[in-house]
Amino acid sequence: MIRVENLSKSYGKHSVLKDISLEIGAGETVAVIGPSGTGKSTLLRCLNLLEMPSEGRITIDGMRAEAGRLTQKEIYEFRRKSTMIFQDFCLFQNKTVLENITLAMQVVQKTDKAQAEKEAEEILEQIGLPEKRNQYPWTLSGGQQQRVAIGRAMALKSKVMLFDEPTSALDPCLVGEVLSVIKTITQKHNTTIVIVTHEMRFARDAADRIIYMDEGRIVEEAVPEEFFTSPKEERTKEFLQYYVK
Amino acid sequence: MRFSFEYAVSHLPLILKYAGMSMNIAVVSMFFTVIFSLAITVVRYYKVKILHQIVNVYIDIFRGTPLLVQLFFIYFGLPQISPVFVSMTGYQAAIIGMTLNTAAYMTEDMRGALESVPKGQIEAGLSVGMTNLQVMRHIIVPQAARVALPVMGNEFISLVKNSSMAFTIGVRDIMAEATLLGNSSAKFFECYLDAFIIYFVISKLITILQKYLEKRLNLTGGSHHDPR
Repeated sequence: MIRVENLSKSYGKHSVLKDISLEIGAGETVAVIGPSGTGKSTLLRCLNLLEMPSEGRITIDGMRAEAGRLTQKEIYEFRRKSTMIFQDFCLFQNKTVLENITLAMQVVQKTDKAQAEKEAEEILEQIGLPEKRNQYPWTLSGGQQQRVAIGRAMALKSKVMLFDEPTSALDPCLVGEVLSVIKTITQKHNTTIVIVTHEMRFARDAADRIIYMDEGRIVEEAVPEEFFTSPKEERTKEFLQYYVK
Repeated sequence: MRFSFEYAVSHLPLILKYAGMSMNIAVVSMFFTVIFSLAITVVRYYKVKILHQIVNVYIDIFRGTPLLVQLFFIYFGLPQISPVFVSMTGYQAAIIGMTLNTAAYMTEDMRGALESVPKGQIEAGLSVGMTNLQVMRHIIVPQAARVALPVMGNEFISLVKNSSMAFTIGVRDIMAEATLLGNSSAKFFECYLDAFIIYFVISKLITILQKYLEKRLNLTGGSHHDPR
C-alpha cells in the first residue's frame, strides 16, 4: 500500500531524513517510535506531502510521487490518498463537530449534504460523541477533540491514515479514550495505519510492526513481540531501557 | 455671550439634510475600500511577484501623507497632467481619495487577521484533501473575518469623519452646508455646533451597531482560537 524509496528531506544543510526506504502492506498497522527530533513526524508529513521530500519516491495506493517533480494538481491528488491526524488536533475552529466531519466530504468528495450528514452521524456514534454534534471544538476536552479529528479523517474513507503523536498533547487521563478509538479502527477496518507514538504499550498491543528511528534513519524494524523482548541494535536497547519500565 | 440657541436648533435640520451626502461618500468609499483591500491583501499574502512591491510602495505613500493633500493632488493636480481627469467631479475625486487612503490602512487589518489564524488550520484543511483556495474560503477567511470585522468598523467611522474633508474639493456635505450657512449669517458657532452634533451622533450610532454585530458574531462561532 505504501512504498517509500530512498526518501531524504533536508532544510538547507540540515538533513532530517536520510535515505529512508520502507514498505507497508494493505491493512497493516505500523508504529514508528524513537527519540524526539529524529524525523518521525517529518516522515509522516512527507507521506501526506505537507512536507515536500528533497529526494526519493513515495508510492501510495498505486500513485507515485517523485521528489521535485510534482505539479500542484498531482500534490492535491496524492494527498487525497491518505489522511492525517495531528498532535494538536487542528479541528476547524469555525465549524461545529458535525461540520468538521462533513466539510471535506462535501467540498472534496462532492457528497451531497444529507448523505454527508448521515455518514457523519454514524461516525459520531463510532467515536462515541453523538451528543456533541452541534458544539464547537473549543467546548470539548482534548480527548474529545482528538476523537473528532479522527472522525474527520475516517469520513474520507481513505485507505491510509497517518497519526502524528495523537496523544502527546493530552492529559494522561484522556489518552485512553483516544487510543481505544484508534484501536477500533485497526481492528474493524481494513485501513493501513502509520502511527508515530510514544505510547509503548499501545504500540505493542495494536501494531503489526514497529519501526525504530534515530537521527533520520530507520535503525530497526520488527514485529512488536520481538522488538520489545529481543531488540538487536544497541541504540534500540538503550532507548527501550529508558522508555519501557 | 452671543449665542442663539434658537438659530442652532432651527438650522440643525437644514444641515442634517446633507448628512445623506456625507454618508453616501462614506458608504461608497467603504464599498470600494473593502474590495480594493481584499485584492491587495491577497497580492501581499501570496507575495505575487512585482505587483507585491508596487502595492507596498502605494501603501507607504498613502500612509505617510495627509488625506487632505491626497484629495487636493487627485482633484486639482491630476487634471493638469492628463485630460482624462478634467471631467472628474469633486464627488468622484473624494471617493477615489478616500478609497485609496483607507485601503492602505485596511489591508494591514486584513493581513493581521489572516495571519492570526493558526498554521495548523491550513495544514488540517490540506490534509483532508482541500485545495489552497478551498482552505482559504472555508477555513481561513471565516476565522479571519471575525478578527477583522471589528477593526473594519473602526475604519468606517474614520471614513465618516474624514468625509468632512470632501467639502474642500467642492462636495456639498454636512461641513459644506455648515460653512455656507455660517458665512451668510456669521453664526459660525451655531452652524459648526450643529455639524459637531450630527457627526457625533452618526459615529455613536455606528459604534452601537458595531457592538451589536460583534456580539452576534461571537455567539455563532466565536473568536476563540486553538485552546492550547
